[in-house]
Amino acid sequence: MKERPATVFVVDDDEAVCTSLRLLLRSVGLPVVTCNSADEFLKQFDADSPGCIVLDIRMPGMSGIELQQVLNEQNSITPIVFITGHGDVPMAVEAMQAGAVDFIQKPFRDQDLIDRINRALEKDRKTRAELGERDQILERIASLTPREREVMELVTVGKANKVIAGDLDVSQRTVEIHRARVMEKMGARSLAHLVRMVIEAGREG
Amino acid sequence: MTPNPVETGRPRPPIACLVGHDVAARAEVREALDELGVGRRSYESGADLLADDWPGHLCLIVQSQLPDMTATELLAALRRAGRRLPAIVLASDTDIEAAVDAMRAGALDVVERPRTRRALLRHLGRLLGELEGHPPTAGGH
Amino acid sequence: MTPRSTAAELELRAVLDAAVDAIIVIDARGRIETFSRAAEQLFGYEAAEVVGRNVSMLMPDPYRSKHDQYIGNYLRTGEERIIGRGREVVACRRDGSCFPISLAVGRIESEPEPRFVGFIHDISARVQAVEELRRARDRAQSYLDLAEVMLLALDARGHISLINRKGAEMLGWREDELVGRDWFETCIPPDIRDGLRQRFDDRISGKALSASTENEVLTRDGHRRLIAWRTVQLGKGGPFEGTLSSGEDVTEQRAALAALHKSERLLRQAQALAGLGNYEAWVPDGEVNWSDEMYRILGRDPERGPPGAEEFLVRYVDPGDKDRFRRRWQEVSANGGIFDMEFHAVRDDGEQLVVHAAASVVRRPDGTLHVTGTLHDITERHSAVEEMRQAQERLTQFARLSTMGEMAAGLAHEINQPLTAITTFSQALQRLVRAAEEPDKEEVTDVLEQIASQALRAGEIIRRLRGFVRTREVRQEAVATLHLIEETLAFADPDARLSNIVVRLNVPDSLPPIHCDPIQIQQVLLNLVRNAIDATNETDTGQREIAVAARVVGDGDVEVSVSDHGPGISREVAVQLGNPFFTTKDSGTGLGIAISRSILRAHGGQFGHRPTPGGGATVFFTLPAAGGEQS
Repeated sequence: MKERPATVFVVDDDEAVCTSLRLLLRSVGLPVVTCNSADEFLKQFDADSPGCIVLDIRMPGMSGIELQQVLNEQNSITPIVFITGHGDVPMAVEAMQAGAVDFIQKPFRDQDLIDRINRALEKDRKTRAELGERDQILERIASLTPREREVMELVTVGKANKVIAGDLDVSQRTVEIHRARVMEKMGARSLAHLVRMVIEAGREG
Repeated sequence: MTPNPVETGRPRPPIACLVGHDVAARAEVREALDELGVGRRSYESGADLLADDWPGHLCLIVQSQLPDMTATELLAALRRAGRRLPAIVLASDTDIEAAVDAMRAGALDVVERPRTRRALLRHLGRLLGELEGHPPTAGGH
Repeated sequence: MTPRSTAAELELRAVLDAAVDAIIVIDARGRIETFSRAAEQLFGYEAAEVVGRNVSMLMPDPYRSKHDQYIGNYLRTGEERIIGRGREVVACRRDGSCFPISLAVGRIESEPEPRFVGFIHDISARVQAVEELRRARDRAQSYLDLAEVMLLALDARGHISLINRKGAEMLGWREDELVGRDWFETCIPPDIRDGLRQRFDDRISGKALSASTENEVLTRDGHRRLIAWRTVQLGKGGPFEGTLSSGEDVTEQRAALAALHKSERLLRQAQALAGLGNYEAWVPDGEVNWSDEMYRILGRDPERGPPGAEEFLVRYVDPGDKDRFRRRWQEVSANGGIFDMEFHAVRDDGEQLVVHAAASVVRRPDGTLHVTGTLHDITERHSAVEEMRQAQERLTQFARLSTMGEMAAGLAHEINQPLTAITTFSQALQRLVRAAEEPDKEEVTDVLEQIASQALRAGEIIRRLRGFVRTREVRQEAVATLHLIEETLAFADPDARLSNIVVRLNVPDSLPPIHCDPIQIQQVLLNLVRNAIDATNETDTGQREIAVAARVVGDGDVEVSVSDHGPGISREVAVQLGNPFFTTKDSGTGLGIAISRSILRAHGGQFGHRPTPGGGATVFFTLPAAGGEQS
């Protein structure tokens, strides 16, 4: 997976927006793939390919937020920059809490968008690079307390905090606190990232 | 239950740290805090807060625009100073950019004013629950 | 006669014969001894015929047969029944006729047995006179009793000397119970008793007598009745002897009159409250009568009296309405009929009013007109109607805005898309031009074209929005149905697309234009389409397709319908449909259908719904086609 070029995926139902973004991003030398719907995007997206996603929120069929959930479930770590024609604070906060790296309102300054895309790409690059350094991941895992480790294992197989609390016979809040410590110690940017690290650590081990 | 490792004899009441000079916003926050029985320390500006490294805070409640900086800048400054606190940012409902910046800077949530009270109660309730099982160590790392 | 005629006997005989009364002497066995001349005349017997015979022959049965018994009884017991007293009895003449007599009997002591002398006086004349008097009185009484008024005679002391049956009845007494009683004590309520007695006493002292008075009397059971009296004084010229009065019970009458006055007063008040005056006039130059309120409405001084018809027109009808008024008046006055119009009136003080005049105009044989009518000040109502119309318009406007509010996310997105494309295109273009020595002309042109078309797209959305949201007067015009529907669907399209719903349009080209306020009808249609979208989103199974159709129905109206394949309209919902604030949606205002209904009503249109074949609801409205006009 070394030398694959980072690709900017633009997902927007509006053809004119797609076309103009393709033109803009090409003009700064970024490889672009545009899709008019979430379904079209999912058909060609490879989570292991580096890049980022410029995602419209409001689309017929699967919305941008729904697509983000699907990608999270697939443990995608590809950063998402949301673009929306009509957003509000809760929507932005929700998207950010779900792991989006940015959220920008249409219309936008070209440089602004380009900066954010570059930032997302840089982050993606960094994350993928870190995933490549297995020793570091193992070191971080070693720094966890036994209870934190337990929590991490359960979290990464997709168990909800509530279920984990039951399994471990502790309060849900305690699980949350352990989980936050895990994320911090592991340097995980998202749950997906954590999952990937765990998978990476488990490889050939 | 996890034993409470706070060694000082008397448990201190939880204190929320309120930053900002907007009077209406303060009033809204005060109402929510009173309801939960949470004490407060108020700071007019970001600099005021940064100058006071009193460690007992439960959380930060920061207005998105401070006289001397933005909430995002304050969060970044605290992080640089190694003080990591759960932070809730109060933003007006139209200020999406500020909300996104605050989230990127690590805010727990951005609460829309004036629908402050309910969101604050929810968050503070969680934080207080957290407090029960965990020491309020301010300085992170 | 006995043979022994002494001088004393002769003397007695002369006395007896000279006496006016008939004198008969009988012995103890009832045999007649002496029969005076007057007796002969009275009974029609010669003395010789009766002397020695039993006196009972002069009596009718049963006295005749019992007479001997009477005498026997008397002699045996000494019990006097007749002796020493006068009494009235009946006697018989020779010819058998009977007649009333007064009889006085005296006892003459003689041996061996007493004798009796009877003095007899014919009282037939007196009895007859008395009888006639009695009859006359009875007749009078019956007249009095027949009278439907109370007749009352008071003596000088104020005691009742006569009262007729009616009067007694009125007072709740029997006649005989009242006669002799003090009128004032018995029949006058205590509160006015002294005053009335004073007036009565004043008459005694010769003060003027008022012939007609009214006062209350007290009935036996304590009720008060109002009596109107006519009184004459008795003893004219001489000393006061009392009064004779006829009294009529006017209690009900007065109450009725009072009620009449009251209802007249109420009518006046009602007229004043309603601002409703009425009038009557004989046109052209007859009498005119105005009710008080007419003067008040028009601010005319009642002292001046009502104006004539021409003066009314000139003075009180607003110049702007004069022609209309005159035209309408001429139509009605030609043959008579109903004059009914609203017009602006000008008061004497110059203030303008809105009035509604309604009149019946009857043309009489001589060509004059009899006009009766009302004038109603509807200025306030008029402004209330106007205010309501404005409120309705504001509400409609509000509904449009709130519809827009609900659609804001979609619309903002819709506008921001072309803006984003424009911004991004032009920024990209700048970079291209800046970067390249010789920019690809074709590419530049292509991008500019895209920019232009996106700008037009944004402008189009804004144009539609502005037209839809603007506060404006309602204005009806002939509108091409297809165009109106297409414009509306352009609004709904973002929402429909977002919900993956296909909107199918089925409108024939030949459809006539409809007469309507296009913005309001767009509002109605948009509402229906948005409801259809919501309904479609409620089901997972239904076809994601909405059909908007238009056709000509019935009497040439145009029906526009929106069909969905959602859950349909349940009976419970159907009942409530169109009630303000009734909504099945989580965030609906419940005003959409209610306002749609009132918009359609104002357009003379109908609103309804039916099931869509195969499931779902079809909601439709009809509007009158614009007759002959082309948009």
